[in-house]
Amino acid sequence: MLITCPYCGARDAHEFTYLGDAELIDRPDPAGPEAEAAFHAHVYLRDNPAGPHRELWYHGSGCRQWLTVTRDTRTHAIASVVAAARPEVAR
Amino acid sequence: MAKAHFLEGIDPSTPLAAGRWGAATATAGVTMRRLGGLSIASIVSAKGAAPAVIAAIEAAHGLAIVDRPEVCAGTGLCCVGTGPGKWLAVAPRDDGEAFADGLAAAVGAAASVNDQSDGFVIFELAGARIRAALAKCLSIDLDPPAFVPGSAAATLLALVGVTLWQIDEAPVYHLCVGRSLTEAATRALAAAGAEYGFELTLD
Repeated sequence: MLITCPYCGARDAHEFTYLGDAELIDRPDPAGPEAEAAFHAHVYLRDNPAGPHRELWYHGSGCRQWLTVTRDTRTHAIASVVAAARPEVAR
Repeated sequence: MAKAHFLEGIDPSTPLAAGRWGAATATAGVTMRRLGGLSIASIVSAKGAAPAVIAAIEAAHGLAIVDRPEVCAGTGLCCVGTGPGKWLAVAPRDDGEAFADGLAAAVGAAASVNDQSDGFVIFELAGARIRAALAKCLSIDLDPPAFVPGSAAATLLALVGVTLWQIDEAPVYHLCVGRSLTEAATRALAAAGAEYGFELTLD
């Protein structure tokens, strides 16, 4: 499987480390309503879709940035790869 | 008597000595030369500060660097893009700490600069069959136009993390390897280049 890193270009998946669901980026507001339930879902509950899945990959053997990869879990077809860093704090 | 195998003598238990290894070809198809007298520093931009770092390097050294996996070489300074807002700076001088201090003063708070001269070793890779040898241990495309003079890549060479950049059309490459992993990388390249004749120079 090749992942086209926005900085490095197409690279073998062995250069990357898989973390999991990209929902982890969106941390709930601890002061918000239903914060406890929201954190329970954030920490423990994951979807396991057969189809497109937004997930986090770390390009540890290349440019060392976190990426958000949209991958079809049935075919490994990759629809998009973007830097995981939020645009307002990215380079 | 059976002909010696071309990998004979490339023994994983001892450091590879300088000289010719592998097939006894008229000229070595793959050459690897350790470059001495270099200072190496890492430049890592603060969040959002990559443009400020680029402007500071240009003001201080007259070198226009880019935030892409490319090498920009000027007089006395060469910067290799290793990641977003990150560069490896290389200079032909042997006072690494003063080199890093000079760069740190130039970029100020826009980046963190650290002397890496002790941590990394740079090799020059050349020879008519260098691409064929690298194809056995690298998983990136080195054929033009995918990789041309000025291209750079942070990747794996036989599972060793390296930074590789191309110097000229010949092709000649520079390879930056962590000092404690140079034996592994050297032996991997020696084994890959053995069938073409491999020459190691450690001046």
